[in-house]
Amino acid sequence: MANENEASLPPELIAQEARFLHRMPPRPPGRDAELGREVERLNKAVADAAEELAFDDQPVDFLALLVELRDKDSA
Amino acid sequence: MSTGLHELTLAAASAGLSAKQFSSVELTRACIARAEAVNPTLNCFLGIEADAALAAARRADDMRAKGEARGPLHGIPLAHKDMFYRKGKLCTGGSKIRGDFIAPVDSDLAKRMEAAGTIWFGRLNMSEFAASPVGNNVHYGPTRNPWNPQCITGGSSSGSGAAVAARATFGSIGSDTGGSVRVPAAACGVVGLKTTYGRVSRYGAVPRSWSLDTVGPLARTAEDCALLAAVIAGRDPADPTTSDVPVPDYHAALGTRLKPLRIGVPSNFFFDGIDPSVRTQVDAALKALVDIGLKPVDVEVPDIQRIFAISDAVGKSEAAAVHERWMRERPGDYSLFVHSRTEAGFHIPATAYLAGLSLRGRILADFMRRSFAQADVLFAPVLSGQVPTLAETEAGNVADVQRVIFSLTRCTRPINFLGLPSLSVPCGFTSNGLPAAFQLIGRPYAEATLLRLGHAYQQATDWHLRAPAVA
Repeated sequence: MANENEASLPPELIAQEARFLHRMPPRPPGRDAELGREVERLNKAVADAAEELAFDDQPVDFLALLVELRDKDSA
Repeated sequence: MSTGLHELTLAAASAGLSAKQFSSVELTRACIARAEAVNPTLNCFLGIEADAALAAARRADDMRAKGEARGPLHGIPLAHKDMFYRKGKLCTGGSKIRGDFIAPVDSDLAKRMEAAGTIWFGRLNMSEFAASPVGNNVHYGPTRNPWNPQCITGGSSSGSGAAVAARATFGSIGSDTGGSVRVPAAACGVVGLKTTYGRVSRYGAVPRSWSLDTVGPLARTAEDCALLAAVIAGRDPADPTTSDVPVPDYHAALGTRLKPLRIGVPSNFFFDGIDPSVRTQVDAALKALVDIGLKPVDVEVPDIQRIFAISDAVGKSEAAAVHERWMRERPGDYSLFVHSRTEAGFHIPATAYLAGLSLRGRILADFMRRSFAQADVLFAPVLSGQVPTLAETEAGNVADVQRVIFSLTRCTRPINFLGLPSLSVPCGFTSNGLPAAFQLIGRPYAEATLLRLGHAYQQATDWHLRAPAVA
């Protein structure tokens, strides 16, 4: 979960900062805020899911997992 | 002599060539004529390479006469989504930015299609940079649905869906990052196979999201998709995500006896809010599958909306990385739609992107444990709603457009994050006269099982024989 200080930052400020960081051209009025809200939603989804990850979890080899879980009758 | 040859299925065209009932030149002429006839209405072709294709067809005929045919697709004319590199040839990716881009190398697809003896006769329209499931394109004009030109084709393989449905190509290769094979296949009433992540090389294909991009066929039948899948599947050293898992004989597998498979019907998410007219068709398709021997079982799938959101975060991050320089230097050369969809990726922290990828294996394992414990394949709609009109997808602001995208891909995008294969199969028409479709989702590398089930369904039904009245 994001801490309360981060969550209280206006979304448009986060979006503006990222725009400067990536040296992107200015956006139409309201677009920074709109993007900020979208990104906030996506980040929250990832952060909530990431709570399941333990500190010492190793990344899973996704390609190997696909092979391991494959349909043995088909492939 | 050539009249009507374009109406054959790919399998029938292959058989006819083998039996010397007609030549590749005749077949190619028929497809080119059909493409030229329907394109003013559908705008599904960005380019038709008539002279080069006919020259290649003559060479294919000469080789066949000498007993040097390269396989079942030798001499078959095909057109593909305009995102696969062919050395020295134009490849726009549906974009203005690459409007004059000449590919420096051959894609794996180009090599395989050449090795199989196929004739590449056209470049098909697509969503700009494969970035939209709607199928519209402000640079080259929207592709129009053969069943009703006022309606969208779905995307991003929009031209592939329309050209196959209109009998202008026997099949087509597209790409699927969040539904871009299955959505246009469903909206246009053809079969589309989203392959397992790692089954087909993406080398030389215009990228959208490295972790989610897959390449797969669209054709009128599951049998035709099997013939195309056999050509494109397999390990490619140039794409390290591709696997050494042996490629089965997809076509031969169609004829094997169907085992009593369990078909899992999700009790949550996939059927939530489904249009009643879509529901009627999909329910009838499920009944047909049960009638041919599948055993229906209820399954509860893990939180798909969460998977959708994580997939969105990963996909947008990677798309932003792909497009960063052009979006900074040439923002005006993107459509507002694609620019808006991509720019959120610049704002997703690297930590969130990496957490999303780290969760992927865990989410897949959980999904397999919970959803495939009782089922061999899953059954779901492709589109929850009826195919919308072009006007309905062009109205409103960015938020409105995002809602359209969400509605078109809510049942398909999560499957890309899971890396699983899925076959979209047409199953009738909704109350607005446009096609409906179901998808069969399989375990990793279950393409042969999905194609066999799709083929069995099409042997028992006749939706795939209906042709749109276009041109």
